[in-house]
Amino acid sequence: MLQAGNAALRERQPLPPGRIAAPAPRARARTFAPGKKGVLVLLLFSCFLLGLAIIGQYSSMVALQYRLGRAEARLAALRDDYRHLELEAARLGSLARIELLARSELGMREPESDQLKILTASSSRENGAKPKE
Amino acid sequence: MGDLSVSQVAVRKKLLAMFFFIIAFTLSLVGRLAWIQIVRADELYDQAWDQWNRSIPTRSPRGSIYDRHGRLLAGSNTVETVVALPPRIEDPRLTAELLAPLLEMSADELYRLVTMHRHSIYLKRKVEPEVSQAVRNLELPGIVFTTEGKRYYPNGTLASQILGFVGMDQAWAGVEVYYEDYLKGREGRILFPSDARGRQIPHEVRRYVLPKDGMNLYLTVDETIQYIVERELARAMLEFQPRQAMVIVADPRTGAILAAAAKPDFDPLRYGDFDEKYWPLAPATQSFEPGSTFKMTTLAASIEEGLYNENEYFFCTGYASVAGHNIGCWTAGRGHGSISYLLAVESSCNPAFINLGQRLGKEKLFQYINAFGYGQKTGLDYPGESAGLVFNLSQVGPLELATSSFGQGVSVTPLQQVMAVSAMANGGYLMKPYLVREIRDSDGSVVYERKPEVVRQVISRETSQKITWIMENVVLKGSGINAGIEGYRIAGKTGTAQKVGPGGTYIGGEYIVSFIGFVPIGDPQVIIYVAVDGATRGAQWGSQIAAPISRRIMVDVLNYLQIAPSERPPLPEARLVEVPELFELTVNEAAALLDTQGLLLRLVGEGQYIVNQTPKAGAKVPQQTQIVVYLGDSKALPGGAIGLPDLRGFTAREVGDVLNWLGLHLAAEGSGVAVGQEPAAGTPVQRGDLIKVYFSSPLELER
Repeated sequence: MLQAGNAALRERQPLPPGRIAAPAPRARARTFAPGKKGVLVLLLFSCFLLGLAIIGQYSSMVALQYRLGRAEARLAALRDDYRHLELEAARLGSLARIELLARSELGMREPESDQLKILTASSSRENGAKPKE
Repeated sequence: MGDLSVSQVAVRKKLLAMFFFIIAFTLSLVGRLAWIQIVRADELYDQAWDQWNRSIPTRSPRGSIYDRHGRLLAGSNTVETVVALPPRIEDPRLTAELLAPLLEMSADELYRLVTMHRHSIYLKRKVEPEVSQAVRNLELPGIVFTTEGKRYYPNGTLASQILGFVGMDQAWAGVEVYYEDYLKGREGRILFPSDARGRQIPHEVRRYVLPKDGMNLYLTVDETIQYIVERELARAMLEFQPRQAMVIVADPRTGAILAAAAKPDFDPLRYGDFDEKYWPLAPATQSFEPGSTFKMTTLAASIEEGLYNENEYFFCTGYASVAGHNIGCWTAGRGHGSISYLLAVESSCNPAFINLGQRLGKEKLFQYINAFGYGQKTGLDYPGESAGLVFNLSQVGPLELATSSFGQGVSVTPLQQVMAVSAMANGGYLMKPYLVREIRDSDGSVVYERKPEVVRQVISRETSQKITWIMENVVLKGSGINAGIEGYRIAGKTGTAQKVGPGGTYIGGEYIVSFIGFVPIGDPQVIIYVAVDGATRGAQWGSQIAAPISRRIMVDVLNYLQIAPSERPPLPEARLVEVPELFELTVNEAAALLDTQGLLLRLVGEGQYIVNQTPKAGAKVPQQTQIVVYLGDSKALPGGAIGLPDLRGFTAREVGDVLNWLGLHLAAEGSGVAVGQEPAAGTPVQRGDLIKVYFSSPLELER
């Protein structure tokens, strides 16, 4: 950039008499047009943005992986809880336990054979009961 | 110049040698590189993979087992295993001493484990949550935890012989082991690259092998019917104090097993505390002489072959002479006299069945025995099923033909009998029994569904109907009367088989009594088989022991399944019978007398003669009432100090009557049947003493 600036200065100085203008210095070929400079800046900026996007994407993926990991752990814990509760429900609902509670806490007992009366479907109808639909 | 030339030549030679040496060295390096990179590439890559990577096993829970209605019978849960990392333990002696009481291990054993030259070692696997929490609270360096699955059986011992059990890493018995491949699932693995210390390199998960959850089994067993069966078996163990008792309940139309159990059984969580002989499901794995229940096979064959005429008469002299041997009838020499074949079948006359067997001949009889599935495994999905034992046709002489005709000399399993009689009940089709009706994966999708499977048709529908009618008469008027239920048409047959000892000879006084029956006639939905081996209390007759157990189970099962009575029950007055006088009779005489009336004999005390009874002689009681008698050697109730009888298995009313006879007072606690008493049976007591009796469900004794 500094070279390019000096060359421009030299161009503006008048030539002494009898001197043939020398060919344009080589440095002139290396000067950047204003349009190219903009493209370069744009490219660099794009690279910067792309880098940011990649890093952002990567960190977002890592964050998602963490969330997924937490969700999987939660799912495993819930499944574990479900199995615990299923077993507990089965234990609490076991027929032996219900019979024990019925006998010990509710004072229930089996009916004697003379307390049972067997009814047939026909005898129910005779007694006025509606048939089950 | 000459010296210089010689020197240059020498240098050139050395350079050339060096050149060739470098070329050879380079070539050898290239060759070695090719050997490593091309020839041994895969092998070395695998070795390197193992060095760079670590894997963590991920365990999936074992599949659950449910009953036919989806009620949980066996499930798994995660528990912790205590692990030691010996290099990180600072004070091994202190660590061992602190852990010993919590893990219920000796301190020396723990010290040996925590000082082993290992990276890690299990101290105790699958400990209960409270134990792992107590260990965690100690905050011991070098003691860590890992999780594993543990099997639980929420109903305790219920269906334990069907379910089996799971050891530390694999199943050992029952459907747990038969369906191991479905239940256990597949262990998963996370493989990741690690650094030199074995730590995971972040975000570098390379491979994840997904674990596969175990599949869930849905049995044909109904939890409620299983409970009813086991409750009544437990009661029978108290009442008759046999060596063993077993029951199968099945659907005769499909072969689905609704319940099956034997007592004594075991607790699957403490299987090591029980004798191994109680682990298998005895009704499928044990075979024995069936006795009279096997006569149905001879009868079915005779009817099918047109060799049975129920109106034809037969004369039973009390024995049959076959090949120089006298084979006795169960009437102990008295004989049935002249009776029709129908009556002979109803009264289970041995000579009549020998005669039917002789009419069939050995080829036909054994053709039917084999066709009904005897002598072969039924194909039940259960490990260790027995095939039983029947004669090869070449071994059958006249004596073998005669004994096989009425159920002696053959050995069959209860399951084989259930399937054979199911065929007689369902129109003649022998079904293949099964325990698992469905397998579902962890998402609930059905991966296997079992359909009823017909093995073959053995007899015609007409023969099936005929034999059903004959078996109904056995329950209405014959030895099966104590299995009858008011309002229901039930078919059945009792059996009493002498036990065979280890030497192949019969053991005197030891019997296996049994009953097999199905209900309701016309559309049989339930078939039941009951066997009681070596009862020590009560008359050892199928009609007195097995039939009443069957009745108790069936009353509850019919109620539970909502199978309505098919006919109007008789009026209560029609079922009343007069209690006979039993004073001074022996047990067998009393049992024979009560059997004809449809009454049951219950024994209290020890002795040869009956010295008291309740209800008293002449009282009118409904059929199937229990007549409780007191035994003694003298012909009067004992006076002074007496040994307190064993009251277990009696109802509160019966216990009250017995203690009243003996002049003792009852202090009852709880409800159900007597499961305990204070003082214990045999303790001398005086008139007026207070006897405390505990009543409960008989299953309570097992907990």
